[in-house]
Amino acid sequence: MEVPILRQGQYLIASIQSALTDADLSHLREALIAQVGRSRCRGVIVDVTALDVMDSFAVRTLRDIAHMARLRGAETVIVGIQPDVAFAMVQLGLTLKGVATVLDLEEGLAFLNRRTEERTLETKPKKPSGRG
Amino acid sequence: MAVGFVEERERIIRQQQEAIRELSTPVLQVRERLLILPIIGVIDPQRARQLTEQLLRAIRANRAKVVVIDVTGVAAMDSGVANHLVQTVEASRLLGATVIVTGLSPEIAQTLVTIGVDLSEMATVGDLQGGIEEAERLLADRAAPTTQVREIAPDSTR
Repeated sequence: MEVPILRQGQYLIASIQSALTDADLSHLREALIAQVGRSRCRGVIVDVTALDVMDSFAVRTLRDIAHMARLRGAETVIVGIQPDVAFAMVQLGLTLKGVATVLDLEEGLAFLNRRTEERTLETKPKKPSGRG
Repeated sequence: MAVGFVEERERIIRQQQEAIRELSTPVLQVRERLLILPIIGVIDPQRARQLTEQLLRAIRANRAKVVVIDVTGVAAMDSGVANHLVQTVEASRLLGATVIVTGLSPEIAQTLVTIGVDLSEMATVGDLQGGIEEAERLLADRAAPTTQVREIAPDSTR
C-alpha cells in the first residue's frame, strides 16, 4: 500500500491510511527523506490516526524518519497516535524518545509553525554580526 | 431457586463494583487544555490501568496540553504503581500532553527513592496549587510544549 505524501506550504504530510507491511514502511521512509530534500521543506508530519496497532518496526521507522529528516533540515512531528496504541507502545518500551508527538494534524501544523519561527529567530541575529 | 438468588446477588455486587470504579477516577477539565486527575485511595493494578485508559481518552476528547495528576490522597505506592505512573506520563506525551505529578507525600517520596524507581523523567511539583500554576506557565509558554522537545533542539545559536 502506497502512502500518499502531500505538500502543504513548507511541510510534507504523509497520512497513513491502513496497516502497513515492513516493506511499505521502508518505502515510506525512503520516499519521505528523498522528498524532504527535493522540495526543500522545513517540516514533516506523519499522521498515524488510522493505525490501531504499532509494532516495534513501525515505531523504529518513525523514529528513523524523524532523525533522518532532521539531518536533511526538516523537523518531524508524529500526529494522531491513538490512546490505546500509546499505552501499548509504552508497555512495550517503545516511547519514541526525542521525537515530537502531538494530538492531531492541526496541532502538528501549529507545532511546526512555532518551530520554524523559532529557528528563523535563532538565525536572524547572526546576520548583522556577520556583516559587521 | 437458591442458586438463582446467589447469582443475582453476585451480579448486583459486580455492577456496584463497576459503578464505584467508574466514580473513583474522575478526569476534570479546569480550563481549556488543562486537565486534573485527582487520585484518592489505594491504587491496585486494575484501577491503575483503568485510570490510564480514562486519562488518555480524556486527553484526546478535550485536546488537553497539560495534565496535573494529584496523588495527595494516595497513602502508599509500590514500585508497580510507580512504574505505571511513569508509563502513563510517557503515553500522555505520545498524545502531545505534558504531565505534572503533584502531592507526593513524604512517605511515598522516601519509599520511591529507597526502592529505586526512576522518576527523573517525571515533572513533579509539591502541591496541587503549585502544579496548576506550573501548568498555566506551560500553557502560556506554548512555544515550548514539552521539555523533551527542547532537548533535541540543535545548538544552532553558537
